[in-house]
Amino acid sequence: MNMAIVNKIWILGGWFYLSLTAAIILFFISPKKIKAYISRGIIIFAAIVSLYLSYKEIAKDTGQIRAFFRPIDEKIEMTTAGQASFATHLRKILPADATGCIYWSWDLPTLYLQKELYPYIFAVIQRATFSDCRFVISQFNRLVDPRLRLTDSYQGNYLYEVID
Amino acid sequence: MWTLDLLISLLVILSFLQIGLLIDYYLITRRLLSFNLAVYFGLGLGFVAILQMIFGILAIPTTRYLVILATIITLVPIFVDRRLKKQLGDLTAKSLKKIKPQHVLGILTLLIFFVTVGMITFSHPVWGYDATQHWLAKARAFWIDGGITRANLFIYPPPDNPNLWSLNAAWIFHLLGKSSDFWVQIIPFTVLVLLVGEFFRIVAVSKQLIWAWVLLLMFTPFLWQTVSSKAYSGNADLLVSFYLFLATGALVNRRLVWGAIFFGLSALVKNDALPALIGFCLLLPIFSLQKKEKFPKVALILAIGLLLFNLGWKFYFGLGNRYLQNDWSQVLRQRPILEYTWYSIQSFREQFRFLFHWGIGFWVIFFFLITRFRRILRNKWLTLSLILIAAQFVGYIWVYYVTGEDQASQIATSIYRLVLQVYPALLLLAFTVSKYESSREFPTQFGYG
Repeated sequence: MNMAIVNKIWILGGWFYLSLTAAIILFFISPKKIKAYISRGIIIFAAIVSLYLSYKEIAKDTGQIRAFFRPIDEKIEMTTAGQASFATHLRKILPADATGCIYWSWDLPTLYLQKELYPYIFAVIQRATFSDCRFVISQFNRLVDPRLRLTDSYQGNYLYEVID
Repeated sequence: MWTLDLLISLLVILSFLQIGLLIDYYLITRRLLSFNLAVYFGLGLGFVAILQMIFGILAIPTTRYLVILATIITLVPIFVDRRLKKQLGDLTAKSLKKIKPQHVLGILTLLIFFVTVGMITFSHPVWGYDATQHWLAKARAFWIDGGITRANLFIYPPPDNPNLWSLNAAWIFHLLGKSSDFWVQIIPFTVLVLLVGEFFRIVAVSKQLIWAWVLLLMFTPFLWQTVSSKAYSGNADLLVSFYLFLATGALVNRRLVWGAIFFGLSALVKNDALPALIGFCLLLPIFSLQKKEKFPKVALILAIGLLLFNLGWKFYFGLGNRYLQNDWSQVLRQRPILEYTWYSIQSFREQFRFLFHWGIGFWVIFFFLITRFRRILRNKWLTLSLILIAAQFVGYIWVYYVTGEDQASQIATSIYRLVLQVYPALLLLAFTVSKYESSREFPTQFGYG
């Protein structure tokens, strides 16, 4: 029973809240001169902890820092999995009144392509129901469906026209 | 080509600062320059957004030429107005003179930090959910359509989200002549620099442990990661954080007009900040009821004006509110309020001690707010600031209760972003109570002027 209470306090408080409680009690019972030292010590310690944690996080990101020196277009292409140039390509070849669907492939690239295609409105579909689509875009995967005619392909991405 | 894009992006930042400077100089301080870059930037972003919102209501298109013209016009007074030019020159020289040899190490640390964060930030474009499916998607629509229209407000749900961030991003797109998820990151990066800079200005007045406080803020992992991480760099939360920080700083220094403006602008970034703005409107009259003090009429009118503008905008375009338009009987029947509230409180408790987001920042905040609680009660503006931040938490917990999504998954994907919104403001309060014994000891314009 007693161990259960101790465990509960430890889970809820952990070293973070328990040490905070201890520091507050210590502060209130300390003479005025000591209080000033406690406050200063806390700030300096907290700054060192932040510095250390940030250093650790930045050290994990050294690859990112090296990537800074790459050409901007390359950084954009790498991050967007080639969808930035695919969107530019589609905007060039799509008829002005084109509408259609993007077949869901991979969350962020699909949302990104949908955003980049504006003012073309392309709805995202997750199943092969092409009834409301004039064009269908498939990222990274070739679709095989008798209702679709391949109109264009660009670096592993495909544009289809739906056959009536 | 990238050099031209960089120059244009820097010009946009300069024009935001310049717009803020002109508003502050001609309208707020009445030709007495205060030279506060963070305040100018906040005002500039806010003005640009409100201008485009008014254009949206009046159906006036925002074209590239208009944006270029506005940018050039904002740069003119600095060359034409001799008094402004002189004050700006004097204040710049005065600021530079303050730099002493013993500051070199600190300045070097700041430089290394910002260069490193800048390099990580500009090693990628924005690549996160909220930005891609909402904030920057809207910005692209506003840019292509030449401003806000009844149609494009509804394309990327939820439509009731405010548009300050998207409109500022659209402004930069107009000048660049393209929607760039890469260069738009210059806005959050500048916000981080100015947030740390403003904190430094405030802390520097105390002349004790200046660098420890500044390092504590700027090295808080999630603060700089919000800018440097491709998943978060397009989010709006840092802007809310920036405005709530500026508003709290203004309130603590009894700059109530600035406080009103910044609380108002924070709610134009995200609805999350509405509790603080509503709280400010309701409590300012109560906290100002003292015979000796002049009633802050202008501040109250501004705050209520911005609140009504915010709500009126939603009403005019029929944007609704996803949290108010709930089926309340269903919510109350299906969700036991105490259990849900308790779960949210426990989630915040867990989040505060998450070292890799906040270091021991919250440990410090709690320590100073608890051990100096009497100081807070003795100064009514500190009390009001703390109540408004508490109102923010009440708002967050309420949203977690009424949300249409699963509470646990919504908390898991958003709680750290909400905590970021109030973190710098809370750290500012912790610093303030750690330094000043009573309200009489508050320098009237510490950090400002």
